[in-house]
Amino acid sequence: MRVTLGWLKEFIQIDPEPTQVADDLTMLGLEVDAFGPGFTDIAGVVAARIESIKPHPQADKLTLVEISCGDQATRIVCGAQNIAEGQIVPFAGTGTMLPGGFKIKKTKIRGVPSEGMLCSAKELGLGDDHDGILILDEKCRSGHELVSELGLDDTVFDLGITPNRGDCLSILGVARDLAAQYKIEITDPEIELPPGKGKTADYITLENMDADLCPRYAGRVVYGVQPGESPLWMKARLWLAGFRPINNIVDVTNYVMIERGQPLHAFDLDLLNDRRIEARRAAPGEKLALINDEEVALEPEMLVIADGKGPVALAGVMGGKYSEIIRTTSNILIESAHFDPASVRRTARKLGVSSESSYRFERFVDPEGSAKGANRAASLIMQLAGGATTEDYFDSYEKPYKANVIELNLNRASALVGTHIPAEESIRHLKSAGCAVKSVDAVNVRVRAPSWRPDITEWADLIEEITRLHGCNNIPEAFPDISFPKRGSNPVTDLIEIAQRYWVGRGFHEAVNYSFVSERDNLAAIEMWRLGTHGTIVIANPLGPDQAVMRSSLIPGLLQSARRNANRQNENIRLFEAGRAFWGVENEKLPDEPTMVGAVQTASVDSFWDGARRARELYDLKGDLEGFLLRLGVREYDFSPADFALGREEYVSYVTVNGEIIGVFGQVLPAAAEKLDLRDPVYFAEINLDRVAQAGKRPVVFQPFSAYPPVKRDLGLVAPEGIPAGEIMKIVRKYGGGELVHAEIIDLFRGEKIPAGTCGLVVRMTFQSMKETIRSKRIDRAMNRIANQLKREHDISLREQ
Amino acid sequence: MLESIEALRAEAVEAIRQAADLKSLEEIRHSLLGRKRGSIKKLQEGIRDVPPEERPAWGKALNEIVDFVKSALEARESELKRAEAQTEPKPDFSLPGRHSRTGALHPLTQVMNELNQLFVSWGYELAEGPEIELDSYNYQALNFPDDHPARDMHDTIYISNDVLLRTHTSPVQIRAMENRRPPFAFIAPGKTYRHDSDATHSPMFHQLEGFVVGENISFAHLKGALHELVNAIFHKDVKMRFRPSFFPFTEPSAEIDIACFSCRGKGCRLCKDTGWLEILGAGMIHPFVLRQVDIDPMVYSGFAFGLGIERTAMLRYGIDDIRIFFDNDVRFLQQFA
Repeated sequence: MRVTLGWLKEFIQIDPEPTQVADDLTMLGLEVDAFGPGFTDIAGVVAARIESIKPHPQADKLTLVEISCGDQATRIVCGAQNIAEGQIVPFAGTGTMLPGGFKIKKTKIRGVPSEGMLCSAKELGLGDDHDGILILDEKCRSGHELVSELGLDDTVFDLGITPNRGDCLSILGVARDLAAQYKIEITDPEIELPPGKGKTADYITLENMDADLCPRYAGRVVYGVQPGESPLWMKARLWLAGFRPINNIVDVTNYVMIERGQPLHAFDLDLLNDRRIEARRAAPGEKLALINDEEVALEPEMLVIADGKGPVALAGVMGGKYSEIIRTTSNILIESAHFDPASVRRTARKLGVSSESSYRFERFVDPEGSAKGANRAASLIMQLAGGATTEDYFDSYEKPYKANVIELNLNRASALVGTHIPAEESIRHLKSAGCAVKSVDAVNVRVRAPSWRPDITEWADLIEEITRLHGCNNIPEAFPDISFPKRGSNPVTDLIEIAQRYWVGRGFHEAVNYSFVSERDNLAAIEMWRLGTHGTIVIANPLGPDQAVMRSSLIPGLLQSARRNANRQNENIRLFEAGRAFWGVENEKLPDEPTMVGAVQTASVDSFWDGARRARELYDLKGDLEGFLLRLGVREYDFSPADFALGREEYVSYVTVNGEIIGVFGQVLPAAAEKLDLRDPVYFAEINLDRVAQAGKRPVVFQPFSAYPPVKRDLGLVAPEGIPAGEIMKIVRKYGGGELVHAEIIDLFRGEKIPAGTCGLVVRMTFQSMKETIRSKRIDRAMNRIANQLKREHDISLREQ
Repeated sequence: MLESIEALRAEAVEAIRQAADLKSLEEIRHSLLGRKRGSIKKLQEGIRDVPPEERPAWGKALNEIVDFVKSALEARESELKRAEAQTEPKPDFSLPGRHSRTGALHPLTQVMNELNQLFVSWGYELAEGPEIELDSYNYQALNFPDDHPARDMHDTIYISNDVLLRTHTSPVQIRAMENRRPPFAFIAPGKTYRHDSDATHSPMFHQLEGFVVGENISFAHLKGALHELVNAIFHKDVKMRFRPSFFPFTEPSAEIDIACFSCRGKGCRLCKDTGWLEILGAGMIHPFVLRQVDIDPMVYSGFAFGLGIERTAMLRYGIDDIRIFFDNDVRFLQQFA
């Protein structure tokens, strides 16, 4: 909302500097986004008087114009036809900059020097008229800056009005708030209309058929008007408010809307069929061509203004093309109504049309102001376009507005604010905000909210008014005492923190990706996590195809991040992310939102200054993952076979706990990596922290260890290909006996030293007894048990040294 | 016989002195002290030829020579080791160590973790809610009626008519209060979504919601708590102002500005010439909201606030385009290690 200081001053007598006013407005809750003189880009253009016009010696269409600017005379060459001696016109002298960066230079036109130019409205950025020079009011003083003569240098405050303050979408409303702040009176006299002739009913029949959607409908007839251009003072105000002048009738309706917040509509009376206007709901199938040239199909819950034949306006939203005011209009009906805010909003949204008018009606237009709005408009129209009005006006107001009456305990108000505000002060603030206040007793008051403040419905709203006018910044600070018992936090929250610290320590950078991904990317994730068709959460109004569905896994987003890095030649990319995935649940409105941790390792190389270079591979990320599981408290888990399209066949695995999948791990399908501009191999891992939390952390129970010396023995084995190492180790541990405290594979090899189709491995075992120094006989027996069992179960033999 | 011992001593001294490296010293040790063929061993074996009365003196002299040789060997050994160490290359501390690079926590995580810790230290509990939320929690229970222009304050991303991506963390107020009776103090950090994308708006962003309800919670408490908060965020005493504003779920409502630290209030590009930076939205919890969760607003009162994490991080780290947070370029991320 653009509000000008000069206009405000028609309602309130204030003298602070604009900077102070801006600050006060902001601190009232009417945030000033910007303020300053309205038009700054035509500085230097002055009002000039045309002293004489003579023909140009060399050209028929040009004239030589002598002008005076104050006491300076200048001669210019001009091509306009609409000028005459004695007129006041805008003059841009040599060196003046016009809007659009056009600088006036001294020139010769057909041999005659010209020291500047007279300007059209368009050249000044003040309108579309390019046909002739803008002729100024006679009152404009020659030699003075055009902006000041037109009032275009008035200070404009650009206000961000919150949706609860529809009343402040007007000069009057903002003036009221400033008056409350400065504790001054507001001047808003009744409108005096000259005595009219005839009755409204002589001109038109009006009927309000829907008092619910149209609680008030006022209509006033003005007949014998002459549509035309508005005077410059009005145009200037409209320009400054951000409106485009159209004609004096329409301009008045806009002017009154800006001034009083009352949207108005003017109909050409003579175009209304059956000389009838009714406010009613649209009939099924009705259509309406709007003034913006759009035709809309109406629905029965929409309120329309109709004539005897059909709808002529979409009530509160936009007028119809048919009864628009044009040059030949001579009799008009001014509509000033209060429409139901929710109904206007529904209609505007449904049809995708909105206007300054619907914007205000949605935010509640003071129903008590309808008649005054109509009268103000009639008065201005008669002043600018002539005509006269009738003796009476139509006013349907069946259910007068019922003001909100609220009881307020002033002690409670002080307690809520946190500082003692004396009763008289609170009452003063409420009264200045337009409320009627009656004392019930020493601490209780009964407050009637003004008709323009529907947002004041209960005591909290009154406390807000008191706080606002007392000044938020005059309230002291205190620190709340919140020393009451607390409950523990969500275990998943702790796991997220563990995850973040762990992966960072492992050299991964933390990424934060959007929660939405492309449908295609997500299909792979759905399959990977075996979610089924109901798993996908589709966004109804996505920002774009790459953000069409909610992610079912963090991996697609991480891969896209890796891709962006790769495209920028960032190397050795290892990223992780902790965040939610979204898994649709059949027959549930809200999906499951498991917290996931995902990690991606692109083809990367560990290099050292001694020349060592080693490409990171599957077992690097597997090590990272195993360490992570340990940190999460997951001690018993399996890597179980998996098969999904995103992964390379045989190179992916599920991480399972008691058969339940808690994670995925493996290599991205090389073809998929290639599509992502990523060099193969790319590895990924993802763990579902919700499932980890559900599985629970096994409590740590201390295991005593032996005081006797350990003995290490190596077992060289030759095993047929295809036997998982884990299987061998399971047998080693099972048959190693109670004194086998540790076993690990220290070498795994293939090649010439052993037969084809086999692999060699060396298992190092540590034996230790709790009771004594272990004897080699016992170790030999354990080693034999292991060797026999390996032979029996898997045909694994001892390797000859 | 004692002369032979003295001769050996002189021989040993010379041999040890001559030893050029540890290997030859080891050979000398062997030739002197070797269990089978060492020179001293041989002398010891000669005891049989010594008359019994001279044996004690002989033995004593032998022990002495053993100690002497041992310490001479030791001394030479450490000399040689020192010399050898001189020739080894010295460590270059300007060379990087192995695997020194760690990753970095995302700056948004860092800001959020810091705030979480701060609030937990003040006694707040963490609360959570779904990111895909029902209209009733995101809007209706927070006093955004259907067909009310307050809904225009948020540009919503919808899943269906009544399911949406939460536009703020405030629905967590309702979810937490449904299950708890006052007094309580919660923070709820998390992701939020709006249909908006430019240099200062991201379709996904993070908020931190805070809300406290008790018997005597006042606007003054809100002011005190938030001042402590902004001081903690920017590590200094920050000048702050409360500006009346509107949120449907708080009354009174305020927006909180801090004095622009780029221009110190004079006006600059960062603060759009206002001298102030908007940092928080807050207010006293609306009685409507308390009634939604069966908390009597005549007995209890509370305050609530919401902080934009991206905004905070942008101010703190001097970032001017919000989109860089979600780009995940390692050249960005590694700066926060």
